[in-house]
Amino acid sequence: MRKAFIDSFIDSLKETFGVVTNLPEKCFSFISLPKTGYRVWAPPCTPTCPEGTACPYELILSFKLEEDIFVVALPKNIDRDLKLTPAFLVKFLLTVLEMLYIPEQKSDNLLIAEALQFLANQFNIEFFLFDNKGQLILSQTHSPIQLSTFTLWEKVSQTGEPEGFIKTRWGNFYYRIFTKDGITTGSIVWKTEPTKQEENKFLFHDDSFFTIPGKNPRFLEIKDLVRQIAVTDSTVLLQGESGTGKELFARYIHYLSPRKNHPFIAINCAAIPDNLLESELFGYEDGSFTGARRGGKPGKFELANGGTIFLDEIGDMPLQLQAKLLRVLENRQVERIGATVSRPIDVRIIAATNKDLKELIDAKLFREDLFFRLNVFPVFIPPLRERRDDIPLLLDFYLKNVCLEQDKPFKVFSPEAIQILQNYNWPGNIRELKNVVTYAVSICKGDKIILHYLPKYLQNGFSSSKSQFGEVKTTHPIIQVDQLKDQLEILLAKYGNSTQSKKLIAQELGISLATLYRWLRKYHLR
Amino acid sequence: MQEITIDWIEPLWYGSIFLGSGGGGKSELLASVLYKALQNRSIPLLTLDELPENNFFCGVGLLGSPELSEESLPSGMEARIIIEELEKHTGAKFKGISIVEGAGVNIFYPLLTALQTGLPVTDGDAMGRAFPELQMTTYHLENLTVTPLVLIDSNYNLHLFLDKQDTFLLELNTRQIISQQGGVGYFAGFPYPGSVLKRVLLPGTLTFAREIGECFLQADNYRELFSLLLEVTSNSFYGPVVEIFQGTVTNISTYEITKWKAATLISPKGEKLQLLFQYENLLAFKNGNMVASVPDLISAIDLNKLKPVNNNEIYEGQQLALLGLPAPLRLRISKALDVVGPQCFGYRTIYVPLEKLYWDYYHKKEVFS
Repeated sequence: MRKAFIDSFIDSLKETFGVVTNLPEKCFSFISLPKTGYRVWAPPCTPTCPEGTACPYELILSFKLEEDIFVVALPKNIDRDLKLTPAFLVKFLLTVLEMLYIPEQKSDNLLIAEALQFLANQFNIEFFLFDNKGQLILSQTHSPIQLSTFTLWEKVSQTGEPEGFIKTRWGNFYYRIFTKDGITTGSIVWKTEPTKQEENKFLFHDDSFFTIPGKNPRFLEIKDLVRQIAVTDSTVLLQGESGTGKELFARYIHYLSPRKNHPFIAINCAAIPDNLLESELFGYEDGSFTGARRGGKPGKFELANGGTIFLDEIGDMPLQLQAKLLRVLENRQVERIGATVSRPIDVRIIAATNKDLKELIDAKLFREDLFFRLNVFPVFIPPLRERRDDIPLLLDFYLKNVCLEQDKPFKVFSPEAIQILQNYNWPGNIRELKNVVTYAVSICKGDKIILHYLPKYLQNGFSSSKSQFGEVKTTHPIIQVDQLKDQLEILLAKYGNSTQSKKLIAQELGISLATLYRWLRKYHLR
Repeated sequence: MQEITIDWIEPLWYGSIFLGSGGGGKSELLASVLYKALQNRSIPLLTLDELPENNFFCGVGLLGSPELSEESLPSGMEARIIIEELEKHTGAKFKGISIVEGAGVNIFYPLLTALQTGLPVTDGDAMGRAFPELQMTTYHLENLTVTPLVLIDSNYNLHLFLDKQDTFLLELNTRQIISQQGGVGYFAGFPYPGSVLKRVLLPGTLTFAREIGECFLQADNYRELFSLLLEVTSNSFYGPVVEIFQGTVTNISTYEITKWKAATLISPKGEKLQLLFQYENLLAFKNGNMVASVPDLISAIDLNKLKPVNNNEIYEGQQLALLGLPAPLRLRISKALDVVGPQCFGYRTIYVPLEKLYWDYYHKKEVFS
């Protein structure tokens, strides 16, 4: 059975990519085969190899499956129409890794992250890795993003194909959607060719602008505060529920700061495996570990030099890295893994979390000294339910943008729909609101989005308990707690209680599975 | 609840010109009357959320030529007459004034009426800008009639339009009376309760006009003005303002037998812009390509004075910046374009949103993602 699987795997690699499966004997004296997992070489494999740059292979990959070791190599000059572009290599590597891990049942995120880590090290590829809700887990770009990453994800999600090619105004991308048991687990989108310099020119034009819509008095105060903070060089700690737009605020601060023409590097500490996070943040020196890129690799701190680094989900950073981060904050120097000297950096740090860091400190999961270092300017971004008066404006804002992005005629929400959306609890905050707008625009054929075009959980939960427009009392918003509980009950009744169902529920609410479980526990709904 | 005080008048005036999109009439005299009247008084301003559900409001405004109204300024007394007349025929006692056209003189006339009657006004209107005709409102989108409507001409004759009638027809009938009776008149109509106005009116027009006007008061130079306007418009139901052109007016042509007019502007680089307007600015073509179209707003700023200008203030040799402002979404859906799109003004072109005409500009920065 296993033999058959491997044979068919090798055959498919040969057929799809034209790989070579038998390396010359002499090669094996230059490469050391992996004891577990996989290893990749980009020839020349060692400085002593006599072939040097004349090596006929572009990439050599060796992996161990149970007791057997396999080696495949991609020739430089494939005798087909295929071109060995970095994008092609991404596809190749992902195919191999995916096949490789199927029998081992490894987690998908780890698989993808490892593959990407390798690619990010080896090639100058611009890529975006998304989770199933369109949240960016990891990205590498050489230029500022000219369209929203969410839009990119949306475009990919809308294709309906597991992999392929999309065109955007920002260039062309390949994409691949990962699924497990028929459920989408994430996607990767990578650029087919590097961004041309001239495309970026107008980005730094003086008249560029940045919108964070909202007129709620408290929200305006926060925006004012952020504007004042932005021009300083102080560390900022953004706190708020997931989906409130913490990354947007981080970008806003960067945009308003004197660092605006320097890099803005964002990294989600919770989305990257602990062992990779360190090299991702701090970089490494040549030969530090297996698969390391020759010449070493700069970490995100170094890449952000002169600009801003945004550390999202800082509460999820492992303790040992917290210590290292603390040293960076104190000394403004980074030390690559395996390095003997530190490199000075000039970076503004913006951290964000949706967790209560004080609780984490009590639980000994977060260093108190790091907290005080980060908490120079704490900014609390209110959840959407605390600024309901902004909901019509936000709906309008996203509706306009979604219609333009999808190239559809403009639409409006019916007053009844607005009423329901304004009273809704929005546990997933702005992200959920945007999902609802996108959903409604996608299925609404006319120019008015009535209740019928809202996601079912909104219709079921509230339309029946509300009178028609014109009789609705404009009293205070419904107390959120009961509403959230009701809503969870409705969704559980709709989707069921299985893990898969909960994933769907979390997706529909625009929250993480962990958050969903927390809420279910809170309301004793398990 | 907010109150309109004397501090509002100057910014509101500039805002009313900007939202007039070239038209809407000169509001300077009316603004000065209000300025005096508000020395010791204020006008309650109700946001749409604050409108009492069951209280009736009536919409008031000027019809015809705002220029003629300047020769004999309205006192507000005529408003009392038409509102009382409307009350007789509807059986409703009006508890507030709604704004129909939130631009030009028709922002100020309802305020004058509110002062005379002691009623509050709505912070919201049915056009979001200036439009020349009665059917070009958001009431049309909800299939709501303008009638019953009472019109008073400059000879203080009352004209009643009590039956439900097609709004296009009503526009023709009222216009005929106005042209026969001195060229200007005032109406009271659109009698609806707060519950209806909440879903019909475009929210916050008056505060938005004021915010726009504040930009003109604060800015010391055009660059600063533009960035202030950009910030205010980005965070509104309209959308980020875009610069369409900067240049000198070289020609203004009018065709005597029609309402069609055009102005030509030349930029220092020699680029040519043609601005097509009737009362309001409706289309702009740069080097032959369309760069803005109604219902999006096209507003002119006098670059030397750094103030918004009305079309009847434009002269040859004047240096102007033309700015485009995306219209509120409700004016851009297909049902609205049936009454306010370029074809409704006799042009053969179709409406193209500013965001599509200036795609790179509107998408060059990652906005809330």
